[in-house]
Amino acid sequence: MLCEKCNTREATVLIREIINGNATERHLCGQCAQENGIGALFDADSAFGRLLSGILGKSLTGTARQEDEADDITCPCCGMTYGEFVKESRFGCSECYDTFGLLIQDNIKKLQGSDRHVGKHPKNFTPIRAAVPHEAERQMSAREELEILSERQREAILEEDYEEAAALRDRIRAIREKLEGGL
Amino acid sequence: MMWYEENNGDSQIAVASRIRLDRNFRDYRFPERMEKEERSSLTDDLMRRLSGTDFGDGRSFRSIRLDNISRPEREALAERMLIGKSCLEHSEGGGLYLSRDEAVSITVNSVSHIRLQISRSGMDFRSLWGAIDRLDDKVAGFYPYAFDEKFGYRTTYPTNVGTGMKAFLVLHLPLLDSVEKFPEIMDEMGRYGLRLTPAFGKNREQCGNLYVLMNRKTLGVSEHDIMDIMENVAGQLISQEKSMRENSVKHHRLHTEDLCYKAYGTLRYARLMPWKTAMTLLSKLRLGQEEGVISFERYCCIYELMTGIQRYSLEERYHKSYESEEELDHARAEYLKEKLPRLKEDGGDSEET
Repeated sequence: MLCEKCNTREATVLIREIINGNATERHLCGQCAQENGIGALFDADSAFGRLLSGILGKSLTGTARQEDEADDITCPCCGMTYGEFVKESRFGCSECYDTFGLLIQDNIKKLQGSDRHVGKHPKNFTPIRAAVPHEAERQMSAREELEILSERQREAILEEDYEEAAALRDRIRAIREKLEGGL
Repeated sequence: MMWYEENNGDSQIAVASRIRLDRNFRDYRFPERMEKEERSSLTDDLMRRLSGTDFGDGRSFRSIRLDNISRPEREALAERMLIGKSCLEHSEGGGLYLSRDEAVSITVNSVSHIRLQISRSGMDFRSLWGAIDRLDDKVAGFYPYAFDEKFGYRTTYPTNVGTGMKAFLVLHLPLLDSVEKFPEIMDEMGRYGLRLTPAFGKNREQCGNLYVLMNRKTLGVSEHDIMDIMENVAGQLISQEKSMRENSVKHHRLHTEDLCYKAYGTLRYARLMPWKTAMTLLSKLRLGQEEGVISFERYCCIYELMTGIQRYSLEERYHKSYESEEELDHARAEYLKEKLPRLKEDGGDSEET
C-alpha cells in the first residue's frame, strides 16, 4: 500500500485516531508521518498531557481490555499505576522507567523519534553491568552478549545494513579477544 | 551587571541564548510524588549543598524558598524565565538558587529534583554548554542521578528524556515576521526537530517580533547535535533577516528613521501604554538600534525593557498591584519614560564604527 499523502513511498505507519467516537485511519510512509502526524505531536507542549495520553494508551494501542489490564500495573517504588502515568503523562520516580519501560518504549520512540540516549553520561556513572560480578557470571554474561550480538549481526546482514553489521563484527571480535586473553 | 547587559547584546538579531538541564536523583521519588515533609527536607538539603559548592565562576548566589514568597513575586520570576510556569501552582517545598546577575538559575524540587539553567546574551551555546556541563558535574556529586544507558537521564516528563536538555534562542525577526510565508517557516522548524514560537508566551501580534527557537527532541541526539542544529537553523534565519534589513535600510532609510523616531516619541510621552503597543514600538526601536539608524545617549537594553513591562515585573518594581487595565497601562508608560534614555539628535551614524 502506498502512502496516502505522497503516493510514492510505501506506507509503513498506521495512524488511528478516535475523535468524538469517530475512528479514522491514515496510512502514511515514515517521512510523511514524521512531517505531519508524528511531527505535530511535538507541537503542543502545553496540551501535552492530553496528547501523550493519546499516544500512550487510549487511541493507538491495543484493545480496551488490554488497556484495563495494563492500567493496574503499579510501580513498587512510588505506587504510580500505569493508568495514572498515562493520565498525568509523567513518571513518578526513577523506577517507573523500569516498571513501565517495556510498555512505553515504542511510544517514546514515536514521541522522540528515537529510543536510545546518545549524549552525556553523569560524571562517575558506572553502568550496572560493570559492577564486578562473580568470575563465572562474567564469563557467562560475555558469552550471552556474544550470542546476542551475533544474532543482531545476522539480522543486519539479512536487512543488508552492512555498516551496522561491520560495527557489530568489530564488537564481537573485541569481546572474543577479551575472553581469550583470559580477562 | 545583569546577564543581558553583557556582550553588547542589543546589537544582534540573536538576542539571548539559554540552556536548561533537567535532572532527577535515583533514590528519591520525583517531586510531584513526594510527601510534603520529604520534599521540604530534600529542598533544604539540596539548597545547603548548592550554597556549599564552589561553581568556580566567581558568581554570588542567593537562596529563595518559593513558598516563602508571594504569588506575584513568583510570577515576576517566571516572567524573567527564571522559574518555570509549573512553579506558580506547585511551589510548595520548592527552592530557587539564583545568581546575582540572574544568568544562572537552579530550581530545586519543582518539575525535577534539579533544573539547571544558564542564560547569555547573543548566541553562544558552546560557552553556555561548557558552563552548565561543569555545574552539572558538581551536582552529580550530591546524589546518584536517575540515569540509564538506554533512556539517558530519567526525567519527570517523557518530553525531556535522554539528554534532559532544552536549548533556547531568542531571535528578533521584525522583517521576516512581516513576510506572508512566515507561519510556514515556523511550521518548517518541525522538520529539524525544532520549534519556533512567539517569545513571552504571547501570540504573534503581541510578541514584539521576538521569537524563541528551541529543540523538541531530547532522545537520540547528543547535546552537541542539539547545539549544531540550533546554530545551523538559527544561522539561516538570521541571514535571511539580515539581507531583508540591508535592503530595507538602504532603500528606505528615511522611512525607517521616521518609524523609529515616531516609536520613540510615543514610548517616551504616552501616558497609557498597552502591552501590545509597547511591544510593537520597542521592536521598532530595537531594529533602529541594531541597524544604527538611531542611538541613545547612554546604554539602553531593549530586551530588558520588554521583560520589564510585563504585569508582575511592574508590580514588583513599584510595589503595587494593579486592579484595572488602565492602572497597569499607566504604570507601563511611567516605567518606559523612566528607563528610556534620550536619543542622540543626529541619529546613530557618526557613532558607528
